[in-house]
Amino acid sequence: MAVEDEIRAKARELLASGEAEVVVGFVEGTLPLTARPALVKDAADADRLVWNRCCTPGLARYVLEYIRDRRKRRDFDAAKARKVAVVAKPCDARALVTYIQENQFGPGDVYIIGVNCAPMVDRNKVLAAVGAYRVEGADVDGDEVVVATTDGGEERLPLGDYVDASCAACTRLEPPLADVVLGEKAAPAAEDPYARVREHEARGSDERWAWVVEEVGRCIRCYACRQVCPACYCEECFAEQRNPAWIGPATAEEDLIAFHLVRVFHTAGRCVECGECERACPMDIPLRVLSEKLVKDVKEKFGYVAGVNPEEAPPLATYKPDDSNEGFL
Amino acid sequence: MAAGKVKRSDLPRFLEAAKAAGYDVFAPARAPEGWSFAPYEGGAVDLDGYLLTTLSAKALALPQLEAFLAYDGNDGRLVGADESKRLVFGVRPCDARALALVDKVYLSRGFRDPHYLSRRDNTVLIVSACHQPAPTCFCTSVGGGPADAAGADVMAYKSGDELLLDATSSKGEEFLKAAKLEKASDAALKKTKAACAKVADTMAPLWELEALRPILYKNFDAPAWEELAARCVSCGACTFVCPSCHCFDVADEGKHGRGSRLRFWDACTQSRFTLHASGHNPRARKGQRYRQRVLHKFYYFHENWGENLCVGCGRCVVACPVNVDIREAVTAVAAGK
Repeated sequence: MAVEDEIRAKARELLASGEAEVVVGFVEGTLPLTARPALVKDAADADRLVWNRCCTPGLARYVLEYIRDRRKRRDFDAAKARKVAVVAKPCDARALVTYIQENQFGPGDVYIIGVNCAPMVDRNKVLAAVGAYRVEGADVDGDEVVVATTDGGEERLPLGDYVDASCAACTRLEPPLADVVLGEKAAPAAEDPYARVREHEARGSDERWAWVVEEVGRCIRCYACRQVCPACYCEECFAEQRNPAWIGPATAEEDLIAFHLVRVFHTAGRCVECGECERACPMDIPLRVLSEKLVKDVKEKFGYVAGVNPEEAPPLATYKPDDSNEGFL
Repeated sequence: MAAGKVKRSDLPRFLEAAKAAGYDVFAPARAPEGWSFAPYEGGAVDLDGYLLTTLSAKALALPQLEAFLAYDGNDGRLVGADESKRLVFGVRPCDARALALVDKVYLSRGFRDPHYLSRRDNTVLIVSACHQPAPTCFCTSVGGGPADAAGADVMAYKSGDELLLDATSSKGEEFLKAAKLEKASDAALKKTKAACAKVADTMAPLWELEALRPILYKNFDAPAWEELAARCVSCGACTFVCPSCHCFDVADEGKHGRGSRLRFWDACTQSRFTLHASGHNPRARKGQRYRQRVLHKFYYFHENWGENLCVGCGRCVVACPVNVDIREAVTAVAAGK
């Protein structure tokens, strides 16, 4: 059975039996090469769920939001609450693990339909290659992206060249926590996951600062990066606190820089490398250079990878006498 | 006045001449995020390569951030309006139409925002008619079109290796007169306008606009609002890329006795937009916020100003990280879903 059919069958079963009250998954999008998040509550709607190479958006935050919202309802009865099921890519499952580690909910609150991942397509790369106005529709067929053009033609592009940058560097293709795991295991990417970080580290400090000013200076402060980030779930973000006002409210350069640097530091040891921040940014700011730098540092200095083991204490929540003191003044 | 023409290869010279005449010239240029209106630095303008800039031309009239009052100790002063002369070349009809709509808010009924007014008065908009729509374009569904001249000072049409420039306002006429262009033939102008009309024919309207409005409002409580917005992540990407979203917030920023009063874009899709000091939020749910955005475009603005606010550029459709699609929302709610 195809993974998509397995997901539908599982969702139908969970909803029909009442084990889960909602399944967070993907449905067909309105644009070519797009699948989008959906909350399915009726078993009859399970067939709307899709699984393909365009399921890029993260779903973990929808799970957290759902659980938080239902707790706020007056008629909420914890004893009667049923599970929140979710179709989880490995990065989604890692985010769910961090939520469990950070006591946002317990493993029993969720039903994780884990899917062994196949790298997702970067639709913008495809649109740029073919010309956005020429794309009538597009689909993935085996190892190729097949684009139907407005003049009635067809273009076939090798999938490998159009893989999402974050997926191309991903080495964790299996969900670390799941109630059921679907799909075949894929071979991890050969690409150096930290290539861009190494490039950034090789720059001198002036050059690094110039890079930050140039790239982050483009920010329009729409908060798309924050809103899609599984680690950015504070009910009130420091960026919007007015008393004290840690940073200014708008797009002055120093505020943009402060926002992005502080935001990324808050994800240290918690970032699950889904790449959603960069994907969501309408201004194409290469935000993963900053987040991956911290992922790399946490791994090298504390030997820790976020969202792998729900029993493990995150480095910022624990202390070991031999912790790296590098950076302490 | 008869239309003028410029050889496309002479476009740089035309723009340089405007610079020499004292205009700050802006034109579409490649940018890390796609395309943007950038200060013109010479060289060819790729009129065939670009469909829409990532951010609209809105910021040239209503910057994302501006100070209108500054103080130092007890000395306060109003910040003067920007009076620089500007020529913005290559704006799309949807963006120009959006500015004409935003004008209603900032420049009418006895109120004239001095900063906005100065920028609008001092800017000449040369609007580049569309000979090729993007798949997300839907201007013909909201009263616009590929050759819509609303808000334009000059319309520019592609015609073989020439650009035909047709003044559509007195400001545009003055500008073209000073530019001393060769005259374009009426036949050529007619032909290129007909080509744009053909482009419009390929963009079948998604709905019957006049009939739509009352239905949308009648379906204020349609379940589709919550359902479609369930995936919304409450960021402000759609509103910030939108050419006609014009809400702003105001804050005083300062320390050690010095500072300024700032005005900056705000977004009704973000959860804090209507958050009261008491902690109550009349639009606490995403569906309520999304409904506000759509109904402001398709109903409230029309109630206030007699026109639709959405111009159908499709930027919000493209920018949304989770594919919330305003075309789909309007269609679904109108269908009573």
